[in-house]
Parts: sequence; C-alpha cells; structure tokens
Amino acid sequence: MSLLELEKLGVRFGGLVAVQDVSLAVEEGQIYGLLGPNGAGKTTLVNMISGLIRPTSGSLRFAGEAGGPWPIADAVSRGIVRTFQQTRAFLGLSVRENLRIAAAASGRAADAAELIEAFGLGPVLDRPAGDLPYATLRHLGIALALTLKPRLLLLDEPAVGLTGGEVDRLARLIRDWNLRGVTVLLIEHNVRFLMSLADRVAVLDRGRLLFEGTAADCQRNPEVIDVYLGRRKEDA
Amino acid sequence: MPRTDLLRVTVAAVALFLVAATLALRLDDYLLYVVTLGAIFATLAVSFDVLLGYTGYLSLAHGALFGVGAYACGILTAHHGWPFWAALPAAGLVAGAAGAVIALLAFRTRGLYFAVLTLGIGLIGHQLFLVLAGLTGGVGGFVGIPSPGRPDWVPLDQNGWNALLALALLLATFLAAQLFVRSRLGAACLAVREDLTLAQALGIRVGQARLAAFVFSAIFTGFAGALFAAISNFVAPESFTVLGAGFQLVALVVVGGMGTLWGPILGAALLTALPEALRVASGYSLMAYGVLLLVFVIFAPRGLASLATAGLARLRTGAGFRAAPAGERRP
Repeated sequence: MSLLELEKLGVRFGGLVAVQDVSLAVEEGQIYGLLGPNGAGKTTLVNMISGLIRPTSGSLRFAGEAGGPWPIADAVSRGIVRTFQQTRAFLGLSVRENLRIAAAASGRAADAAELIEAFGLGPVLDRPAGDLPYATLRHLGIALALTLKPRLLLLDEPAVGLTGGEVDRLARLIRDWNLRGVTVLLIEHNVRFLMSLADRVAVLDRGRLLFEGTAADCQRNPEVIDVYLGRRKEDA
Repeated sequence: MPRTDLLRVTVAAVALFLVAATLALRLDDYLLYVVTLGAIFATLAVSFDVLLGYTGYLSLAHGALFGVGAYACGILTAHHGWPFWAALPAAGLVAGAAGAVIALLAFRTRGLYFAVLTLGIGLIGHQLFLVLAGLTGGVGGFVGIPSPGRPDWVPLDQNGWNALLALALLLATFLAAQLFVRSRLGAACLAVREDLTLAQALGIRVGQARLAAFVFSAIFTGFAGALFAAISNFVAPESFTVLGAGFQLVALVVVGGMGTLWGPILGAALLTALPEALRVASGYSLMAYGVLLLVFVIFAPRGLASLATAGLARLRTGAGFRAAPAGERRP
C-alpha cells in the first residue's frame, strides 16, 4: 500500500486550469522527485496535498485513509508537513522561539537537541531568524517541519539559491532523515540535485503529468528531454 | 518549557506586589486613588497586550468590553443584590462571552480591517450603554454601585482596601497572562502574529489560538471593569468610549512595550502618573497620550520595556548605550 496516492487531482482558478488529472503514488520510505518547468503546477500540487488550497477535482489517500486532501491542520496531524519555496520561519523571533513554537504546535514533537545539532542551529539559537544567513534559514525552515515528526515531508525547492557545498550538505540531511523513516516529496528545479536523491520521479508540464517512473527512465524519456531536459541533454 | 523561569517571574511579581502594596498604603487618600486607578489600567493593559502584543491584533472594542464588565458588576450588585465577590467573576465571564461574539465577527478580517471592524463594535457598545438606560442609567450614569466588601479583620479603610484589591487583581492578571503566553496556545498566538501561513503549515489551529487570546483579554478586561465600577461606586458611558478607554489601552501598551507583560505595567504607571503630575494640564491628558505615542512609535517602537532592557544591559556590561537590540521588527 502506498503512503500517498493522488487520484486525478486537479484545480482550476477561474478559467485557468492549473493542475489537471494528476495521479501518482509515493511509497513509504521513498524520496519522490517532482520536476517541471516554471509554472508547471508543482507548487500548486504541493499546496493541494498539504491542504493550503482545495482541489476542484480528484482525491487523495494517505496511509490507507481516503477522503483527502484535508485542511492543512488536519493534514499536519496526519503527518503531512511542508516547507515553503521562499523559506518561511518566524523572522522576528529567535531560532529558539521558532523551535519552541513548532514543538508546541505538535503534540509529539521531535527531539529538539538532535535537530539543532544536525542542522547546525546551536550557535545561532538566540539570534532572530531574520538575521540568519540564507543557508541557515533554509535549515531552520526544514528543522521546523521535522519538529512535527512528519511521515511525509513536502520540500518545495529547498536548494534554490544555495551554493554547491550547501546543496551537498542539504542532500545529506534529506537522505539522513529519509533513512530514519521520513518519506520525502521533493520539488526541485535543480535536476542534478533531484536526480541524485530521488528514487522515483514525476514530471509535470503545464499542469499535466508528463512522466512518472524511475530517475534513470526519466533521463532517457524523449518527451521529458524535449520539454524539460533538452537544454541539458549533453550532460545528462 | 522553562519552569524555573516561570517560578522566578512569579516570585519577583509577588515581591513587587508586596512592596507596592506596602508603599501605597502609606500614601494619602488622593495618591492612593491614583495608585488604584493606575493598577486597574495596568490590568487592562496587560490583558490587552496578550491580544495586541502577543497575537498581533489591534482591537478598538476593548473600551466597550471594559464597560461590559463595569455594567455587569453594577447591575448584579446594585439591582440584584449580589455580593461583589460573586459579581466579579460573573462580570469577567459576561465580558468573555461578549468578547467571544466580537471575536467570531472580527476574525473574519485581518490587519487594518480588523481594527476598523472593532472600532465599529466599540462605537456600538458605547451607544448601547447610552441607549439601554433601564439597565445602565444611560447618559446620567449608573449610581449606587456598592464598594467591594471588606472583611472585618482587615485593618484598612475602604480606600486602602480598594487599592489592595486593584494591585492584587493586577498581580493575578499578570501571572495568568504569563501562564497563557508560555502555554501551547500562547506559542500558537506568537506564530499567528509572526506569519499566519507558516502557523497554518505547522498545523496550528489559528482560529482557536486567536479566539483564545481575544477571550482571555476580554475576561480580564471584564474583571478590571467590575473592580473599576465597585471602587468608583458610579460609572457612566463616557468612561468606555473608543477614543477614551479604547485608545488609552493602545497608548499604554505601545508606550510600555508590546509583547512584554511588564512593559504595559510601566506604560500604565507612567501614563497614570503623568496627567496627575501635570495637574495644570488635566484637560489635555489625551493630547499628552497622543504626543507620547508619537514619540515612542518613532524613537522607541518597543516602548519603555526595550529602553529598560537596554539600560539594564548597559549597567551589567558597562557597554555603550544602544536603543533596542538588533532584529526588532514588527508586522
């Protein structure tokens, strides 16, 4: 049984069809990559799965439970937790306060000390989140989500704007937590980063599912190469 | 959660209460009355700050809620013969219930719209106090509210007893607010203030959190209203206008320091003492409030609390004076 199953999920905003008929399944323990050009509907899809916006068609099953997507608070209590493209943290509050809030939000908070250590937040605990370097703020955003002990973590472009070394460190952290049992749905623009992590990949184009399969098959798929990977054909 | 920290705050607050009470009881009747009023306004400011400072919502309906508590106490004691000690909690509950209704209406909006909507409710509330003359005495005011009952063994006159009660209510409100802001609900309120979308994404039930903050502040505003009525023996609608009490609360909290619980007490102390000290200019006290508000918003947006913190830090380290620490930002 898959952890997350989308059945023809779709949403239209007025006359605009943002996402249409997306069906896919994420298995427990996977890192599942979601690729697509700008405007393909990746973030919209994550917004639906996490309960931030309501789909206009289709349905979602999570851990065998039908009836989703649920409103965001109910999704979180089922273990579906997301991060944001422009990293969100409580910028006016200290890192310590940020973590306290996330822990208080969850009835079953993760071990804060472990997260602080792994994400390198120890030295900046008393600094306002708004003063953190970009990469550290990213880490804080993910640590906040992990504080809620998600079963499924939705990461929306976590590597954007990071340097090479920072991207590698982030990849290690994602893999570490995946090995501890957190299933990951990873939206990424950075193909190399995504392919290095993902077990399976879906490619969205103009709101529709263009491809679904293994990372290796994805890189060989002519349609995908045409729409998205074309300009990278040489180094693929 | 730092339990030891809460214990320290409690011990310090109780000690300050004892010192304040001891000193106040040596004052003459006039100054004692100033202290009593100051403590009631400090109580209002602390409960208001749970909503404004910790949750980020500017309510202009709290002047009316203050009135709800006051009239509830007046009606229950003067018309129905309840003892003050039964009317006090009842007045808090009535104000809390009114607060819940207002909150359910007002939280359909945010930011400026929230302020404007609660402004409308504040105006309606004041009008109701005028119109419902059968209950409130209308424009002539509500006369004959009995003073808070004083047990025989208390070696104080009524004025001393009133001051002691007002300080005790302030202490109780301060401690309750401390518990609230440290609770899971309090953390949720901070999250709502800082970033509503992120708060939702963390699974925080934002509706519940801000409703709790509003009702909490309404209940304690109601307690303050009840004590105000019983101490004054008389209340009139002009005490509960948007531009009077409603605006005064904003001034006390902003001047004192939003988002700290002792800041509003400093604000209330300053803004109650100042008009009394400047007795010559008594007709201009609202203007003094306005000027202070301007000065603080421009030069010390974190209020007296941040100045005091910076001053203490300077004493401790001997370092140069810097206003508020870096990274202060308000939504």
